[in-house]
Amino acid sequence: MTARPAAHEVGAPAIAVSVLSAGYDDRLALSDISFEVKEGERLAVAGPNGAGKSTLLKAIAGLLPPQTGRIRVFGHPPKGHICISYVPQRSEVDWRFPVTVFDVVMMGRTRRLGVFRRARPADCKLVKSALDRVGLLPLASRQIGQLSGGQQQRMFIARALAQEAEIILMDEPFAGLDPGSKSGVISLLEDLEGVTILVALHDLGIATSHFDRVLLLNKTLLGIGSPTDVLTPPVLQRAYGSCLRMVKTDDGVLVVQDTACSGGRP
Amino acid sequence: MSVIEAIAAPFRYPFMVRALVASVLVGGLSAIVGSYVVLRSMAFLGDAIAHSVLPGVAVGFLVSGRGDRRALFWWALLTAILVSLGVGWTSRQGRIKEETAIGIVFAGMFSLGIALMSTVRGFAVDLVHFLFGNVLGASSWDITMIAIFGGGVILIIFLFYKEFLIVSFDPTLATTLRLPVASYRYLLLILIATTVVVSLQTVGLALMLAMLITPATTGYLLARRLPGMMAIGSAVRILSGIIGLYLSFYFGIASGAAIVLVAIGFFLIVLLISPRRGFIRRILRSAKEGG
Repeated sequence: MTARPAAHEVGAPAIAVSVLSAGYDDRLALSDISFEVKEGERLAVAGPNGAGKSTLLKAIAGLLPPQTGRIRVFGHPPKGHICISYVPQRSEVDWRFPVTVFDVVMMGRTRRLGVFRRARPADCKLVKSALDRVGLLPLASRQIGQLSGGQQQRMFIARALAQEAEIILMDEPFAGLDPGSKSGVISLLEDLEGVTILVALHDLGIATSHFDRVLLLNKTLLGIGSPTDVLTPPVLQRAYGSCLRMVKTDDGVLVVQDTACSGGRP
Repeated sequence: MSVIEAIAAPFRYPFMVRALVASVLVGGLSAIVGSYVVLRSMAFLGDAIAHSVLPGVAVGFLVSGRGDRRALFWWALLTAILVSLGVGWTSRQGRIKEETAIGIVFAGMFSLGIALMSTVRGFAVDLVHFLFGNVLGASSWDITMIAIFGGGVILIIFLFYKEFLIVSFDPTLATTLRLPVASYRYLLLILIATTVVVSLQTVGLALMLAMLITPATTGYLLARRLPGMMAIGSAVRILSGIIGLYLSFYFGIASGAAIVLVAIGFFLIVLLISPRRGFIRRILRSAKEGG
């Protein structure tokens, strides 16, 4: 019932996006996007609300077909891969569903198990070690609604580990988390060696201090590169318009983001 | 008459024994399948499938006369599977909203069924039978069909348990794991349709939805995991079936309605006292936080 997963092409970039346009129905959320991500890189996808961050992640995961352009993951279209883990925004998950933390992480093993097969002891061991790595082993038998926001994100990282994911795409994992939970999730992501990670986020401070590169998006690609190269006042002005205030200080320019402001209207 | 005699008395009659067996089999089945109906928020879809079976029943009724229940069964099964596939397909087209599409199919099919049946004189009696069922009239052939098809449905759910779990909980994960999500969706609809048809004799079309979702929701309130939800739902549904049978036997209440009312009684009790999601717990918690 299921197709064989695509093999990885040697030397191909983890993700290659060229002249991508994507969106729902007739409305394009993104147009003319091109960039590449190397294996093992951590990329922050930043931009204002409605910039197309989620659309970009969904297109790379193969959840949303591109309208034009193409996406390659390790040299093949994303549809063939089972190495991509997509972590949705928290509001998209039914937290009252009768499953435990262990059950959710075990779901990552589904394709490795195959149809008609139950989990073997080796799979249980792998799930437990994934839970241990994110610090959730003591909570394994909790119903998922009993987790805090940070624990919910760590559960999904454990699921990606159980899936043996090589690419993790996270949509706004830091939204609504307290500073302690944020830094917990960040340090977990920083410890995942060799895994390519794309995180859609609002917080430019996290993007600057914890990611190799930043991709700034507002319907089109405004810049990609090291945080200091991309997050310059003129580029930010183009992304956020008047929602951004800049204050000159002795150390440089202080950028203040007005989160109550939406769209680019003055 | 002692209590034991009162409990044993109904089962001196073979029709009561058959009713009990049919009730228990259909009960377990409908609570398990109903769990997916509840978790995937398909209550309206389940109701639509149940009501849309009527034209199939009507055709069987017209073709083979009212005495032949076997023909009715096969016609109902055929219609139910076609309708569930049709509804599944319609709701994916996206030109009109899913619930609107389902509503139109539901009302249209139900009207077609009544229109067909109304061509026969005295159809009202038979219509009432199909709408409300009569577990006391279950024949051994009915029980055989329930066992075969119900067993088949449970076997498929057992075999594809982890796939159905993922497709229900997180369709996005199912897609990124490249599982055939649409196929599992259609398979689940066929399982619901089959459950509706085998429950027809015992429950009837009009109360089918209550049988699918009330015990499963009771399980949902109490369980931490899906197998627990299914087990509690089945227990509640089977118990309701047995208590409902007694009510029907001793007080002459229509069996379908009696079973549903008992199941709703269980649901209300659990809603009040459920340790995790119950009202009383919630009130206590908010009182504690407030004080």
